[in-house]
Amino acid sequence: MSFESLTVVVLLALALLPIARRLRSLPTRGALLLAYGLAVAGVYWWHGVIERKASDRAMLAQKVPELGRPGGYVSSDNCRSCHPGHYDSWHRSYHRTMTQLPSRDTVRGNFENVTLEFQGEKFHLERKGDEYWVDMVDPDWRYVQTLKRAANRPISPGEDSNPPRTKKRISMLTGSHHMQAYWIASQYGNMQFGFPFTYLFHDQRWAPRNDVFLIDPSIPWIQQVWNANCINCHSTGGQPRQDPTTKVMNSRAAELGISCESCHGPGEEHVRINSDPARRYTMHGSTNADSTIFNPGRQNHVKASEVCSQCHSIRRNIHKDQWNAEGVHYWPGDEIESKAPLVHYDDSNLNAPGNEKKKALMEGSFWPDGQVRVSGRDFTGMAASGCYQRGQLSCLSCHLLHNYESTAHQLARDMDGNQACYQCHGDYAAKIEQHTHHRAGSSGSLCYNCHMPHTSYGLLKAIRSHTINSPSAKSSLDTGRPNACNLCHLDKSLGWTAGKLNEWFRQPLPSMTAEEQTTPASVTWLLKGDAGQRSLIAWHMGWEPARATSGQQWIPRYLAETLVDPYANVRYLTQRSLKTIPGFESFHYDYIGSVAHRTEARQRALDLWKGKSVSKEGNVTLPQPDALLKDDKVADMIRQRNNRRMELLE
Amino acid sequence: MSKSRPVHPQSSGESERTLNDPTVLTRRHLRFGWWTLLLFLSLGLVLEALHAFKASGYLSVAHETRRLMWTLAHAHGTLLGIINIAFAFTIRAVPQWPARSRSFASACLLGSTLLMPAGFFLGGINVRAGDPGLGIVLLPIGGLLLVAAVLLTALGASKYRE
Repeated sequence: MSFESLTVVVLLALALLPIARRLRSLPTRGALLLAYGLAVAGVYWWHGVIERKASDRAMLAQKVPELGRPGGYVSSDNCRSCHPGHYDSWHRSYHRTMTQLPSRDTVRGNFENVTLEFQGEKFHLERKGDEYWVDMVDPDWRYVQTLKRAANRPISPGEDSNPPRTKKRISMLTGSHHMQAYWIASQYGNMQFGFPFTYLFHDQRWAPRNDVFLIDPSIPWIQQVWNANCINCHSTGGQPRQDPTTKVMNSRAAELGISCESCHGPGEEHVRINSDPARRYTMHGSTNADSTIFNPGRQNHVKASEVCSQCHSIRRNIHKDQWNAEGVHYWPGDEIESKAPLVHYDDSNLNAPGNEKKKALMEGSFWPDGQVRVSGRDFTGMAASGCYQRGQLSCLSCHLLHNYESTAHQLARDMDGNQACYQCHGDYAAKIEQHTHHRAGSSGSLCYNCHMPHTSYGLLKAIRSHTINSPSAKSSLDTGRPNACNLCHLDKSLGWTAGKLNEWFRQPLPSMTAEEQTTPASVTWLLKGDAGQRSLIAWHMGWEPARATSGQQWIPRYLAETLVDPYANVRYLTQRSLKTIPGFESFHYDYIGSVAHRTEARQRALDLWKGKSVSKEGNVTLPQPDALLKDDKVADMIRQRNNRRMELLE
Repeated sequence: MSKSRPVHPQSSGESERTLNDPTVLTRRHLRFGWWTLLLFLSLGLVLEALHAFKASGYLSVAHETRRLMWTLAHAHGTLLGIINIAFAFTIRAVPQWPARSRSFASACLLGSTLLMPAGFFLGGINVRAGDPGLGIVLLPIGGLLLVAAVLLTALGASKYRE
């Protein structure tokens, strides 16, 4: 019996004794004694339940990265008492919930006796109270097989054909905005293996992890290890700490998810010195910054943005030898370029032997002119912009980590419109129509739509580029990157765009083929482009401003073709856009269904489109007849599709 | 002639006179109430000091339940101290209150004054995953005793006549 339960029993007896002495009859005293006995038994039972739960939590805690690390980190727990408002805004953000432990409050995937299948293997998911379990092929066994293959060690005959199964508990999860990925504790210390399915919130379904990324379908799924990569930006102050001999991980982090100390630096000294109320009240009366903590909001645009860039950019870790033991060598306020320099596009010798990693990084992250093309690397894009290089633009010009308007993009008030640019370019407010040649207030007069079009990709959607530049038909011809004009005017050709840009902004007319002159550029990119281009166009065909500008009845004709695209993410974006078009809202399609299902769905989509758009006389009644190509032309363009293997490194 | 002592059918332990004597009860509740008040006002000072010096074990998010429990212990203890003092004055103000009912109300109030703040305080010591510790089981029992005490006192006070 613990001291705690003994105290409870004694206090209860002390409280009930005076009452017992006032009871005259034996039965009433007996009843009180019985009630006391039952209460004591209840205390014992509850104590047992609590201890068992505490033991379960302790077991799980041993299997996940240790919370707490040296270096002056104290965790966000200690920040709220002085900064409750900032703590609250951070607590509501997706930064906090980047990595979490599983519980009924955090898990959004369906674990209610669900069976999934991937590459012939079955996974049975179930929930037991607050615990989430998977019956699956033993991931530890699979990891050993992977290591054997990597080391060219022999695998005995039949070893692969009879893999052992086991029940594994979900130990961590990543993501809380669009999708959620799950991690499973291994036998190698607190190493976390990736569960091969991701739960998509919008669709409320599971999907194989490879099928939620832009990745060539012939590339096999690889067992991911959280501690080896994700720990850098999905935890605060993460340290991998893998034993190179045994492979056992003893990872630790100040905190899971991105918390206060990611942006403000370790807070131990700040907390210690401010435990003195006299100092706190002196600071309240001062306008000086507290020198014991880093505040990005008080820095110049470079220093402030560098804090965000530790994760939202492509950087090279030059302290690889120390990284395993100590994690990334950067603290907010430090000189970041000397510790993790920004990676710039370099296409020299990409095909030379030994440059495979460089080629994958360059082609998986940048357009051929060096503009970043993947999500989550926004600083790399912004740093290439004149507004940052010659101006004062910082991440905090538009985004606020605390006083934001909504959690979705953490934009400051009014920063979702032209006011964002008017902060520096206020003179355009009075001449917006003259500048844009579009009606004020329309999507064509929104600065973002022309200067930050959705040409980056990630999280199963197109994302605004943070390289701030102007639309250019020549740039599209040179790099393959769709331009802002044709991403809204989906029914117009590159030739049309070049003509308008020449007429309005005196951009030189680039030379182009007859097809480029006349065929809607979006259709060309959707049918002939690489998987990256196809993804962007498939997404834009569901983008409301583009559909409003270009009409939408002709769109299903082409989206029907990408229902059978070889890339899963293109098919996903296709069905999302198709379902935004009237008549297709309930179109049945499974983007990871069989090839036969996809083929049948394509024909069904074409039949449905024809039924809605072709008159009894056989005329196509569409607002943009020029956007329609003959079927043999469509087939010819698909045959010319750029089938280069792609993997975008989101 | 010697004085004859009254016969007490339940004379084991405390005498019937002690159990029912309004003067004894009044003094007991005044004593208990003021000491309770002193104890829990002192606890309030301790809690304020923990705030002033930003004590992590009390103010950090991980100890949110502890902060709530101890604040409630301070509040309930203080309030129950005042109720005990008010109870003492009620006894004197309502001589018509039947002795047996008064005696039960007194026992229930003393029990609740012990159990409720203690339940909150113990519940804040060993917090588990955001839930109060085992001591919190004392709270509903103390709450029932307090309701019983207040009910009996209200009924007793209803017998008050000018």
